[in-house]
Amino acid sequence: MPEDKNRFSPKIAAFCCFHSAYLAADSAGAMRKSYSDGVYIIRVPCAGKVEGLHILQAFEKGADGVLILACPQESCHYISGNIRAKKRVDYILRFLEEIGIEPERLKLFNLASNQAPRFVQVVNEMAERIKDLGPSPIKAGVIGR
Amino acid sequence: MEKKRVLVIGGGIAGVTSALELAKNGREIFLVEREPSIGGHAASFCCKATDVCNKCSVCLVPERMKEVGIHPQISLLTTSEVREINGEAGDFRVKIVRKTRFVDPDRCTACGICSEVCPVESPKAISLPYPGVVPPAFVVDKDRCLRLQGQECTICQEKCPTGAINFDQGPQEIDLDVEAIIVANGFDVFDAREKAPLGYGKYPNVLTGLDMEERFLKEGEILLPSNGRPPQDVAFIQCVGSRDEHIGNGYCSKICCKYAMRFSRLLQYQNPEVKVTVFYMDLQTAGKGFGEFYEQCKESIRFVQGIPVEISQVSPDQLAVRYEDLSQGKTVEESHDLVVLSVGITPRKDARNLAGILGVNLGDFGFFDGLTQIENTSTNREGIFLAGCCQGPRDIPESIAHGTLAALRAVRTLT
Amino acid sequence: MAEDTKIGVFLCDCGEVISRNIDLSGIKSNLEKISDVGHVTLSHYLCSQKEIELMGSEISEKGLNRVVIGGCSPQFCEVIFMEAMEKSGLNPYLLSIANIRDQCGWVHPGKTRATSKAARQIKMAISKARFLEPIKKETVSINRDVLIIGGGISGMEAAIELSELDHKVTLLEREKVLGGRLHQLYSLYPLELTPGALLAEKIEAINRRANIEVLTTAELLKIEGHPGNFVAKIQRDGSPITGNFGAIVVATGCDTQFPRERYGLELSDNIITQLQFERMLKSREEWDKIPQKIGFMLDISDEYSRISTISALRNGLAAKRRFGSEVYIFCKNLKLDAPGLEGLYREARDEGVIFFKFGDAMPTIAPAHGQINIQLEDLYLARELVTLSCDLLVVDEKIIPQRDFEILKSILNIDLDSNGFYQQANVHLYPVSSIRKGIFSAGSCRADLDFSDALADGRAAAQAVHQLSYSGKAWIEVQKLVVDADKCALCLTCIRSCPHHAIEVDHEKQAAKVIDLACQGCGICAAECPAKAIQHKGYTDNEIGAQLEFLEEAI
Repeated sequence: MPEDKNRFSPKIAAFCCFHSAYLAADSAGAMRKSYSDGVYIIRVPCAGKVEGLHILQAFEKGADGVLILACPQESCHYISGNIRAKKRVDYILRFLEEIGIEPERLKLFNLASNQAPRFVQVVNEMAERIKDLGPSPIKAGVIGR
Repeated sequence: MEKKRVLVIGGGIAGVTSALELAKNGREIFLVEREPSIGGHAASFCCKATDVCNKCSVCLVPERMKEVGIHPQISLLTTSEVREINGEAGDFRVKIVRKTRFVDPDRCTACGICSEVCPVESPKAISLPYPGVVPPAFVVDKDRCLRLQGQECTICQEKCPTGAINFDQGPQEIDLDVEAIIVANGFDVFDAREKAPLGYGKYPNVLTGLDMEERFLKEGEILLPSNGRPPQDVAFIQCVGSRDEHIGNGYCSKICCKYAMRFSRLLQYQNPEVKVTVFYMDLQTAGKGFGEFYEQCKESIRFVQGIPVEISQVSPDQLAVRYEDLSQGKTVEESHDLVVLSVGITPRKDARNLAGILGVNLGDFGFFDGLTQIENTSTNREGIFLAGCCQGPRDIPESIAHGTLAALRAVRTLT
Repeated sequence: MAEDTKIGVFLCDCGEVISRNIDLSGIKSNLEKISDVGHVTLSHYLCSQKEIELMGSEISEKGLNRVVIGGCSPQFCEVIFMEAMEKSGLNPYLLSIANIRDQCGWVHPGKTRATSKAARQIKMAISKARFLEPIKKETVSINRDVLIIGGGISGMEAAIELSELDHKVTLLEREKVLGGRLHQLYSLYPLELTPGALLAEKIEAINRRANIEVLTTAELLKIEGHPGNFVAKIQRDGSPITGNFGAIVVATGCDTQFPRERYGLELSDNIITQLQFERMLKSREEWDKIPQKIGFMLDISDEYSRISTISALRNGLAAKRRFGSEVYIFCKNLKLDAPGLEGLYREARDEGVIFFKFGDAMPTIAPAHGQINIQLEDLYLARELVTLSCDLLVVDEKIIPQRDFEILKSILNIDLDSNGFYQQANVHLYPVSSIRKGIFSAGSCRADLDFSDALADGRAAAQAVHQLSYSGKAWIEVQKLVVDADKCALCLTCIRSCPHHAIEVDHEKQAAKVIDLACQGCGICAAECPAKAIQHKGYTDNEIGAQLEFLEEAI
């Protein structure tokens, strides 16, 4: 559960496509489902809008993990946005290894606007995974901001 | 331009679509809904996507409902029913009875305090029907509320910060003048208890397709009712209540083959070890993109041509399904832990009543009768139109299309 | 940040719900310390009439130029606050919302942590607000005229409906006559109307309407322009015609093909396609001898077509009634999921049509002594091998896209599904939309639709067009996606990436330009541009970066 005092509290930047994950998150709220409070939702109109720059910036600014949450395949509101998001995430994953960030810290998931339980499952599992990995290795290296 | 008014009876996806199409063309709409909230059956359906969308369009329903909820040209009259209609196309005078819902949807902010203080437990006697409900207002459960059972409790009424709760409120009569009427009051789900040998209501691990929808929507998974564990061996039985002359349902309900296959894929996506069997008569695989989906299903799902006649309980967690295996020419009994009855679409039980009020004919099998096979949104009465499953079984994309067509026809009465 | 920002922060308690586990007063005091926050209030029902009016006056009186809300989800309140801002003279796009109810208070039970997160969310929203820029809204005019490509049942129906809604329609047909597959059909049973009578009715309706222009032996060569204002170059009998249209409907129908290679089956005098059988039923001359036993083979060319099942049922019943022949229908699965089909099936059975079901093993079909021998594993007889012979075997065909579908797809720049039919299988496009605004597809050119569904599809397309252009005007957000011409190298990446073909080359500026009416606001172009020449107002790098700043900040 999120209030575990024994492990560090991960900060996760969750880029949420408004038409899918953002609405699913709202639904999870209406159902009063609990999830890790280290998850910060950044609203985007489409997962395809999230650039490599934004993902790396998130890590730079102190995210321990980054999630990109997109519409299910073949159901993107803007037709091809989720495909582009996947390509971009795959591209950035190759960089992460080179700069010493574990690839498990960046993940893309597909879900629909009415899949509140899946939203909760995905973010909670990510939070657990990040807790096991520990704080992002970048945080130690960044001096001031 | 003077706003022309249309009455839409029924707030399911077809009615909602008609209302939105008319609103987009600048009309004013009264949407009358019998329940406290709109959305119809489809609002309680779940997404069955794996990583890939299954193209069922369920996710569109909450979106459309919300659009209706905030649209300035659409007036929602919930817990309301049509009692009487007089007049003719271009000048209908409609009497609506708005039943008490005790919670005023215009004042309720869905804060939830009433539910918290309600002394009745599990479930509470006042609650939000489900997240994303439109209008977003709490609903009193008449069977569980102490006040409505004759007791003195008014705690929720006292604690409500906006004064939205009023147990002394009585029904209201509303008169509307409209130019056209669209009937979109949907369908009833076939009651699986009518097929007693299939054990629904008797054995806990026999569920219907609708039960599956509701559980997946809330929990995102299905667990065996008998022991709370994930199922290992699931059987879907198709055509329950459809294609069945004996009970007067000599038609295909259209949606069941598709939802069974979508659930099957979802179950296996969540647990690749789970065995799934689909017992069918004729697989309905026509539909954009569905052939390819079925080809993928064939790889891991067992399809058996033959409908089981009986289900019995071997043990609390195990069911025996008896069917005629056509390929072997004999009766076979096999065990499964979860059986899902793919129940179909039937006309509303009160369709006859509403048809009488409207002066509109019922057709085959008790659905509302379209004027001809081609003009199936028009009826025998000018100015009254049909949208969605009230006219015959449809899936969600088709209900949306049909609602659109009803709006197209209704507009002609107005211009 | 464009100017000196003066931010108004409006916190909402949502009926005392949010403050149950979030210390809003504490957050309010903290926010008051921020230098460019000119106003902070806490209210119980920010969306109420009274509070909205109060918000409006506070914006005007205090000269606030940004609004930040801490409350429920934008999906519920965004529209209301944008309207309030507009009424008070502030551009409605200068709004930033922190969702502290649905995405904080309701999902994080502990008060300290929920408060800490909510504070952070509000600061993220404030930080983003500083970078917000106004977006202007304008109306543009839209041409109400419509071009319909294809004069079959869907195209004709769309034309008639649109004409009755006062749109001028140009109906293009490649052949010499309108009608498409209606010319091939023998019957529309259980509809009593014959195809010929229906066709005559539709053509009469079209001729009667002054605002439908029919161009036969005509094809589309090219289109230019954009939704609301397309320019079409048409060729008719070798002469070019140009027309201006606001919307285009593709209703080119489908074709059929018998895949001989699949089964090594050759068509012959007594192995014919369903299309050929329809022709035989229509004409009297083709019958030298009435076949005593007619077989219909389904599910060997196209297992997923309802059209084939309907043809077999209709024509099988017709053959039985007309000639008294024995009629067999061989199939894997009968597609009966449309109105009246179950009834048609039972009627056929009641009148003596015999149905055989085969499973996954394909039947063997072999000509022998002037007849056709069919051998199959009969599913109803425990897979017993059954042999019959027919005088005539009618085989199903694969439903395929109309010839030249790829050419039309390229001309229009619209999408195909994996089988080559128009409109990819994406629920957001159903029923008749394409990836491009203003271009629709209807009928069997987009899905396996039998005649009555194809007709309904034509109507749906008419309604979709009407809804788009009935007023002759449309609202646009002016340059929400804006290209910096100085940075643009005309690499055309954005043009290729835009899923809606909403970007074109502005030759004057030598840069890409987003067509506001066609733009759907996804921002993919901005994300793809290698030169960062495109910014997406509301989601600029600064706005996103400003939110990310708070990931590690202390309160």
